[in-house]
Amino acid sequence: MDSVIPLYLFTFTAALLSGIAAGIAGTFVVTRRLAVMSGGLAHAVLGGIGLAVFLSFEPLWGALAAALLFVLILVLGKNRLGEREDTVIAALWSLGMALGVLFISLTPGYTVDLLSYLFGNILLVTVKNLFALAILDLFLILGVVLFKKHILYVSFDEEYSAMRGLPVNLMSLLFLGVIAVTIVLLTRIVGLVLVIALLALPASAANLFSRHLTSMMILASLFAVLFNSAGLGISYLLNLPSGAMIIIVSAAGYGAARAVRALMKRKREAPEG
Amino acid sequence: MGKVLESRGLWFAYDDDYVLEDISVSVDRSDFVAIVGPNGGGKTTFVKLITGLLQPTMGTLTVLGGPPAKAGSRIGYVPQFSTMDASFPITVLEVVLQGLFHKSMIGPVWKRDAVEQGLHSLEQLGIADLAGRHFGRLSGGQKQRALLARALVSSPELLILDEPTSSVDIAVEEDIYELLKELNSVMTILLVTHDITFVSSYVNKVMCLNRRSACHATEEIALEREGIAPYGHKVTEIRHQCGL
Repeated sequence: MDSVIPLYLFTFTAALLSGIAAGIAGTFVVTRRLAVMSGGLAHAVLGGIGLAVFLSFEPLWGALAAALLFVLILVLGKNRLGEREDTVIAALWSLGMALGVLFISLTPGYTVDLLSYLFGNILLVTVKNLFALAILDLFLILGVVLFKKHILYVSFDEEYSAMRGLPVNLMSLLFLGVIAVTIVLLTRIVGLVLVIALLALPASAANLFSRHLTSMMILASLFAVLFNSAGLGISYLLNLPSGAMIIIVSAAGYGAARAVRALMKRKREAPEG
Repeated sequence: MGKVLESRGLWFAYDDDYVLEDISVSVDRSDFVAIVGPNGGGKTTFVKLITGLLQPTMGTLTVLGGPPAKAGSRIGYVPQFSTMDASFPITVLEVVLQGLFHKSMIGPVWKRDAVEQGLHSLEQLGIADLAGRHFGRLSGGQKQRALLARALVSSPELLILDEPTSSVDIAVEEDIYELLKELNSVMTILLVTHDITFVSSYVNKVMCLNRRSACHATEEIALEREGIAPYGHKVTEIRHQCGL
C-alpha cells in the first residue's frame, strides 16, 4: 500500500470503488442466476495466480487470464460440446484450485501471500489496484447508461430478445466477461473464497426493494459500499481479518433487509383500522 | 391472399433425434390456427422455428414472405410466463416496451411516443393502471395480459401464443379468447394449446402436430361426445381423423 495516503482514506476509497463494481456486476449475477458460476470462477482463478507466482510475474494478470479462460471453456463446453453447465463449472472450479495449489507448492516461501488471495487483505491493496477498480467502475457505469435497455431485456427474456434481433450470445459473453474481471479485481479485498458473497448479498438485498434494474444496481452499490465500509471499520477497530468481516457484515445486512421487507409486507397486508 | 407462413418438407432434429418430420403447412392472412398435439410432439419446436430461434435441419420455411429471422419485428409472441423469474426487477410498462425495442436504441430513456404506445397497449388489455407495478407481483391473468400487450404493442402481422391460458382461470380465459377473436380481423393468429375444446369455436384451422402434421378446417373435426366435467363446464371429446 502507498504510505503517503492515510489508511482511513485508502480504506474508504477501496470500499467505495469495490462497492460500485460489486453492486453493478452483482446485479448481473443475481438477476441472471450466475451465483454458482461466479463462485466456481472465483475459486478457479487460483490456478492463474499460482502459475503467475511460479513464473514470477504479477498474480493479477494470472488471475485475469484464468478467469477469462474459465469463461471461454464454459461457453464452448456448454454451447459447442453440449456439456452440462454445472458439471463444467465443478470441473473447472476444482481443476483451477488444484493447479493453484500445485504451482504454489512448487514455489517455496509463498504461503503467507497465498492466504491474502484466498481471504483478502486490505493492507495488500495497491494504488494500482484502486486505479484498476476505478476504470472498471467507469466502464460499468458507462455501459449501463448506454445499454440499459439491452441489458434489461436480454436479462429478463433472452428468447424474446433473440427474436427481436438482439445479439444475445455476444451479450451473455460480455456479462460473463464483466463478472470475471470484477471478481479478479475484488479478490484483493475480500479474497477469492469470499468474493461471491460480496457480489450476491448486496444485490440480493437490493432486489427486495427494486422495481427497476437500474435502481437495483444503484441500491446494490450503496449496500455494498456500506457493508464494505462497516466491515473494514470493524476489522480495523477489533484487529480482525478484513475480508471475513466484510462478508459477515454483508450477511447480517442481507438478513436485516429481509426482515425489513417482511415487515413492510406485513404492514401493507394488515387490515386497516 | 398472401401466405403468412409456408413450410415445405420441414425437418428438425436435436442432435440426431428428429422432433419434426416432413412438415408441410401453409397459413393464410386472417387465419386463426390452433396447433394441438401431445407433450413432446414438437409444438414448441415448431414455434421456435417460426420465430427464427431455431434453424430447420432440412426443408424450407418462409414467414411473412421471407426467412423467419427477418420477420422478428413483424411477429408478436406470447410465451408461457411460468418460466419467467418472478423476482426480476422490471415494471409492467417496461415489459410492454420490449415489444418496441430494437438493438439500435442506445441510451437509458424511452421516447415519449413509445411510452404512449405502451400505455395504449396496456389500456387495450384493460390493465393501464398496472403500468408501474412490479411484473413479478401480478396475478397469472394480469401477467398474461401484460405479455399480450407486449406482443400487440408493435401492431404485428402475425401473433403467436404458446399456451396463453394455461395458468389463468376460466373467466380470464374466455376474455382472452374474445380479445383474440377481435384481433383476428387485423392479424393472423397461431395458438399453441392443449385445450382444443375451448378454442374450437374461435379458430378456423387446426394443425395436429405429433412429429408429423395434418391440418384441418375446424368443421372437419368430429365432435364425438359431450359430457359434464367435474368443475361443471361442458366438455367435448374430439377425435381427430388425421391418424396422428
